[in-house]
Amino acid sequence: MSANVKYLALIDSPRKGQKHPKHSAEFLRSFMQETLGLIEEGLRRDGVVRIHEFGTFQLKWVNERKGRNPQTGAPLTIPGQYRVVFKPASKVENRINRRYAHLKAEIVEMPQPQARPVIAPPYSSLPKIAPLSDTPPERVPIPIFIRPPYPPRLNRIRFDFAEEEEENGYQEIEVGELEDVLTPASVKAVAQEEESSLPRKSASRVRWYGSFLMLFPLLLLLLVTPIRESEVMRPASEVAPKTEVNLNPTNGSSKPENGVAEDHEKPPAFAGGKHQVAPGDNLWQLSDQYYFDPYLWPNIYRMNTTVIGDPDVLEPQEELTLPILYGPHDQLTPRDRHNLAEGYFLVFDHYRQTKKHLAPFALWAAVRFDPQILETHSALITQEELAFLKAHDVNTVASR
Amino acid sequence: MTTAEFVKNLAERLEITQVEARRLLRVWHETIVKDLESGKTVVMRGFGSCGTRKQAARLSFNPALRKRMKLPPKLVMFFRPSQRLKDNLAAGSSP
Repeated sequence: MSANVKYLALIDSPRKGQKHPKHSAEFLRSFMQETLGLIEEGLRRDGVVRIHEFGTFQLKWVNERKGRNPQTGAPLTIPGQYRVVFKPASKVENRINRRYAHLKAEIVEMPQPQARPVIAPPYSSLPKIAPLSDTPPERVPIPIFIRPPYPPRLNRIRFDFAEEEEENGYQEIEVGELEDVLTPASVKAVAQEEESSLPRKSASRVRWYGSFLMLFPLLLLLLVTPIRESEVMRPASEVAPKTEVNLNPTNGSSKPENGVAEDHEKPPAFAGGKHQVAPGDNLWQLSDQYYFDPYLWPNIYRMNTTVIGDPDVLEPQEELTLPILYGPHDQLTPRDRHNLAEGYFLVFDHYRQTKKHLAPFALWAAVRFDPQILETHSALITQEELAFLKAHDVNTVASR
Repeated sequence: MTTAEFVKNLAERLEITQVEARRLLRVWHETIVKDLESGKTVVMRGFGSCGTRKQAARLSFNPALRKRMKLPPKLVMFFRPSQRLKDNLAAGSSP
């Protein structure tokens, strides 16, 4: 048994102020030998050697266990054996761990697992299950779910689109009618049944009738389109007297003082129409294309709230109705301004639910086009939004 | 074997006083601990080696508090007996 010479030297150096005999290197070597030998002896005799303020050497029995040869992977049985274990004294442990002594164990708050939200079924009216009884249950027809086109976004605000819808030839097909039309399967079934039982002539009549039902929406469209075109293409002089009487019956037709009546003197700047959304389209660009002013885009959104969900996102193949613009973009008539204000108000209401930070700006724009919007929708505008308008001084800018 | 027994045997073998033997033993393990404190590994040839290793921080459960605890990292001492010591102990009579 040998020991590091450096250790011998270290051991031998007496501390300051101490007068201990300096031992020879030979003696120190023998000291190391005896010390380590004594520990070994103690382990063999007692199994434990305790050295005060240093630690305990101990023999620990490890049971027989199964292992594997790491080179070949062959299974081995490792026999039970004694293992030498050293447990340092707590003083020594603390001295060694001084670097991390300042760190303390912390309580960690683990997030509580949350119950998942229960997703409600999409149908509000499911057939109710009757309690068990002896009598056989009645057969409840399974309701066929027909998706309505789109629910109107704003139920609280009502707009009077009737006039423009007439002019644009816009016609609403009710959900009830759709239900009748969109049942080709049942119609086919009836047709087939009757074909087998009836003579050939009547069967063909039934088939023709069924095909007519299927073509009904197409026919409707065909009927509707010429009306719309004729309305649109009609010269302004024809339209003018009709609307003038409706809107302003007290005034003479020769000198209309009201701005609304003035609209129909001249042909409108943009006569309305339809637009099929292509990839890459957006309302800003469409407004620039048709109205020559991108800032008028809420006018398109106003007429298409049932088609467009988010005014910032258009889906391809959507058909947009482009409303009439009565004056050119730089000389908007009061009616145009009213429409635009309503459009911006719709955008404002949409943004209030989705993009809150943009909502006050939309309201600001609405007021800028028509300050009256504040009175008509005063119940829907909060104090904060009014404060925003005041801060940004709309009233001075509004008279543009 | 206790320290007193150890010191008595050591003094007898080296033919020195027990006080001196106790002092030398103390200086011996003091030197080892000092080296361990500075992060060194001490090798005693034919007997074994000892050193420190870092125990990483970990999550544990305190049953008294019934709380999860984050235990900080820690330096722990290890002792590895040499092959010779192991062989000697295996060959001799075990306690």
